[in-house]
Amino acid sequence: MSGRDATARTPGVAPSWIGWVLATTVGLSAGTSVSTYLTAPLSAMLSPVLAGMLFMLLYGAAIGLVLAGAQYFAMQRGTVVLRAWLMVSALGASAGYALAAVAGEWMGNLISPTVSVVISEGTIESVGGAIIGLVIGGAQWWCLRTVMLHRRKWMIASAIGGALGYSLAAAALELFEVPILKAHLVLSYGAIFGLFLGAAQAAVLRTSGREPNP
Amino acid sequence: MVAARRFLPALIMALGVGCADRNAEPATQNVSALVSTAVQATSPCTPGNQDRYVYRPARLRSVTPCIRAHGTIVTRTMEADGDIHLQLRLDAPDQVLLNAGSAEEGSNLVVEAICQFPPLQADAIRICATNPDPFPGPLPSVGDHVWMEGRYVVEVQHGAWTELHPLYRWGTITQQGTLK
Repeated sequence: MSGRDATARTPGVAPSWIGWVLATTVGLSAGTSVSTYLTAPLSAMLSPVLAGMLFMLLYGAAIGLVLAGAQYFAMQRGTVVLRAWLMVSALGASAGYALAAVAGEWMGNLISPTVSVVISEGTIESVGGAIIGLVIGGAQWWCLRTVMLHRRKWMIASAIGGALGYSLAAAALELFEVPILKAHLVLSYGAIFGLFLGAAQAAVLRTSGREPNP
Repeated sequence: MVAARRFLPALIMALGVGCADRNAEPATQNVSALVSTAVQATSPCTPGNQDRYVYRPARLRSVTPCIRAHGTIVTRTMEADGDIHLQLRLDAPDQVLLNAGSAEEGSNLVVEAICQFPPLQADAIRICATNPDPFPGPLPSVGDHVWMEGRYVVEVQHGAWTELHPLYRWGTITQQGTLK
C-alpha cells in the first residue's frame, strides 16, 4: 500500500461512490477527534507563535492526514501515490483551516450581530466550510489531476460540500441541539462535515472521473 | 428543544421578513435598565482576564464588567466553540438578572466558561489557542447550589438573553448558606 510503484496514470478514482462518502465521513470524524484531543496539549506551547496560527496549521494538518488515510482505502488501487496524497491533503487542510479562521474572525467583526442568526452564523460557517473544502479539494486535485477530467467541477463540489457540511454541523449541534449528536460533539461535527464533503466529491468522482478498472 | 424553538423564528425572519433581528432591539434599549438591576445585585466582584478570548465578541453587549449570581446548576453542555454552557436557576433575589429573552433558556441565567476544550469552529480555534490561562475548572455539576462571577452581558445574536460570559470564578453554597 506504499504506492511507490503506483502509476498516477491508472484510470478511475473510486470504485464505489458510497465507499468514498463513508471514507470521507469516517476520515473527517476521526481526524477531527484526533486533532482535537491530540493537538490540545500542544496548544499552550504553540499559542505564542504567530498568534496561535501555528497551532491552527497543526490542527488542520492532523485532520488532513487522517482524512486522506481513510480516503486512500476507498480509492482504486494505484490511483495516487500514498505519500503524496497524504502530504497534499495535510497541507490543504492545514491551509484551509487557517484561512477559514482568518475569514471567520474577519466576518465575525464585519457582520452585525443583530442580524438574524441564520444569516450571520450561517454565512460565517458556510464561508469557512467552503474555504476548507476548496483548499482541501484544490490540494487533492494536484494528486488526482491525471485521472480527474474536470478540475473545476471537483473544486466547486468540494467547496459546496464543505460549506454545506460545516454549516449544517454547526446548525445541528448549536441550533437544534440534537441530543444524540450533542452527546458526541466532536465525532458528530466531523462526521456531518465529512458526509456532505464526501457526497459532493463522490458525485464528481462518479460523473467526471475516467472509468475505473473492472 | 429550546434551541429548535428559537431557530424557527430566526428562520422565518431571515426568509420572510428580512435580516433584522427584532429580539436584539429591545435588548439594546433595555441595557440601561439592566445595568440598574445588575448594579443592585452586584457583590464585590473583580473581572478576570478572559474577556479578550471570547470569540465573535461583538455578539455580547457588556452590561457590567463583573457580577456575582447565586443559584442551582440545571444543565451543563459542551459547545462547538469550546465553551461549557451552564444554565443557572437563579435564587429568588437574583431573578432580576433575567430578561425577556431568558425565557428561551428556560428562564435561567446562561453561564459560559470559555476555552474549556479545543473548539471545532475554525474562528474560535485560533482565539482559544492564544488563551494562556483558561478557567482551570473543575466546573460545578448539575444540581450544585453555587455562586458564580462573570461579565454580565446580553447575547444579542441568538435570543437576546442575559449571560455571565465569560465565567471568572465560582464556589459552592453550603446548606447553611455560607459560601466556599
